Amino acid sequence: MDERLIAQSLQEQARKDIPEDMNLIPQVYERLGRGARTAARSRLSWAAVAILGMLAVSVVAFAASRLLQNLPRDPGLEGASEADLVTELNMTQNIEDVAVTLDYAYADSNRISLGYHFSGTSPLGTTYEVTNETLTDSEGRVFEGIFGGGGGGGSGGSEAPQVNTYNSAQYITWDVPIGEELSDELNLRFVIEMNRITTTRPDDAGTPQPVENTLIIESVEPLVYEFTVPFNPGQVVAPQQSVTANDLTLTLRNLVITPSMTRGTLCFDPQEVGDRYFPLISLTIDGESVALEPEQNFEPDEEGNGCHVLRIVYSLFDRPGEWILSIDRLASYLPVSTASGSNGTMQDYTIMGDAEYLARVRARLEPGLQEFGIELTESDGSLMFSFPAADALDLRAINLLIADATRESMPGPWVFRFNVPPA
Amino acid sequence: MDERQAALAHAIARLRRGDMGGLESLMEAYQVKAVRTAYLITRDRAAAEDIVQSAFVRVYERIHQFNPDRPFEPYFLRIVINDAVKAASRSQRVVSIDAEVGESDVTLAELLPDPTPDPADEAERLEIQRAVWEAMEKLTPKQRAVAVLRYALGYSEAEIAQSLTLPAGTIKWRLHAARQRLHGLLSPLWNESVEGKG
Repeated sequence: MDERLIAQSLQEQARKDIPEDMNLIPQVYERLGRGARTAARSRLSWAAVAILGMLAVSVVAFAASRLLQNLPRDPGLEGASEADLVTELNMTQNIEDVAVTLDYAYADSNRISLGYHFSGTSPLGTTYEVTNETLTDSEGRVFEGIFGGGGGGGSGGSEAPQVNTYNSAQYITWDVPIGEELSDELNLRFVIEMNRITTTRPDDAGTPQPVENTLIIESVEPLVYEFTVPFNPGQVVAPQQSVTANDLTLTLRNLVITPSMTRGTLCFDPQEVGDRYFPLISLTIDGESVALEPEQNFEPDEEGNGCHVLRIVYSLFDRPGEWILSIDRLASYLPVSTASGSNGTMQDYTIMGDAEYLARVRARLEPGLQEFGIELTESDGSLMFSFPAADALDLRAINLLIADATRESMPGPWVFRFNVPPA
Repeated sequence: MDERQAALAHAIARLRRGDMGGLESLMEAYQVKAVRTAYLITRDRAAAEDIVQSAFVRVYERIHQFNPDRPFEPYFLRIVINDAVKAASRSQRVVSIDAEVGESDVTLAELLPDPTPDPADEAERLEIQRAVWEAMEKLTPKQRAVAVLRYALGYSEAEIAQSLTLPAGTIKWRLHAARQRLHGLLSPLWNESVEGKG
């Protein structure tokens, strides 16, 4: 796929359909002339969706249950599995000698998750790629994917492989819209669309050919899995509390607590702050601190009006008692990008961005790195540092240093206290 | 601060004083880019214009909540993009997964640009646009928004995350899903083009 062609096409389409001389100024004046209350039309609704990619895969701090052992998952799904709420499916379909097995499914009021894996082999020169995955139910709902992940790979070994070997697993999570009324069991249909990519090597035909003549991409028959999975409604609590700090009022409305996730509605006044910042949270239940990542899934909700959905992707179901949910601070990103990599010997980091922002990042990051004995250098408009990959450095601590240095924050805290009854 | 930035800062300062001329300057600077962005997400010019008008009204009403030390464009485009995604979500219709892009007999090989311009090139170029336009329709509104930011506006993943104030993982996932979908929809044509060129 030529991404330059896509970019060029979109830009030309926009230029063609929206001419340079368009002018909205009269209409805006007209709206303002009618008065701000009528001019500001009601905010559009939108589907609340969220994701925390960081949580998607390889969260290894949780004991793997038997079912999900060696399969990609997140802490919330892990909790649901440990409670024996994940349905094992083991439905296999084949594309030639490659088996695609739908391993498990899980559904509650906050999410639907599926896991599948590839196994088998294909001849050298033939590979398969997933191009789309869709999930629908028997009521005609089309669910929207919000996050997922996967791992594994193909051929390996010290000798030249004679076949492509498939050994990878994926999981996907779809959003269940807030307030959606679903039955106790969901009849779901999962479709995987794939391409077969065939590369004809020059020596196969005996006559060398230009490389561009040897690639064939074709759609294969979609794989369709139909199955039933129990639906867990979870429990709903309604703190309905407002807390003000730093001239910002946060209101915590309902919380939907399910075995795989806790989803709450957090509203901002002034509204615009919620468009710029996301919360860093902590939680205690009956005085016991809950171990979770402070940055959780956060996006505007369907209703708008300054309200956002906060998804805590951990299993907190059936944890009755006094909950203290603290928005410790609000954070926002500086416009810099970070790249990291390892060549097996050295772990390298590069941070890129405008000089103004790099200077701010450097001032924040350098003292922390010095504590690890790591030197930060600047070259070609980038900040760089590296250290031996074999060093027993805490990579998570390094990444947290970078995260802190590349964010801006607004101090809180905004603390919400409420009681959660037994489920 | 360059001349353009200085002019924008001046426009914002005027608007904060209640001077409508400041809003007019901001509209002149951003309305075309904003409407094009909203249009590529909503695929509806009237809706795109409505969204951008409302966004300017909101800017007027809430300019005091805007931090003038921060760049205006990301702040404004974020309002526009979020509302465009919402509008597209409301009007989203189910698209058959069996539908393929460019179901005509024209292959991408025939559509690829040729260094020698001739009347046929224009038709080919439009056919490519049509194929990409149809493929974009099959993305979800949120995937489409990140694809528009990436391809039409040339934003990096970090800039998209910054612009939408979303975790980088969210952007990576959406962009991955959008690329995967576009690749699946356009690669058969691409494949035909490769064969045709051979």
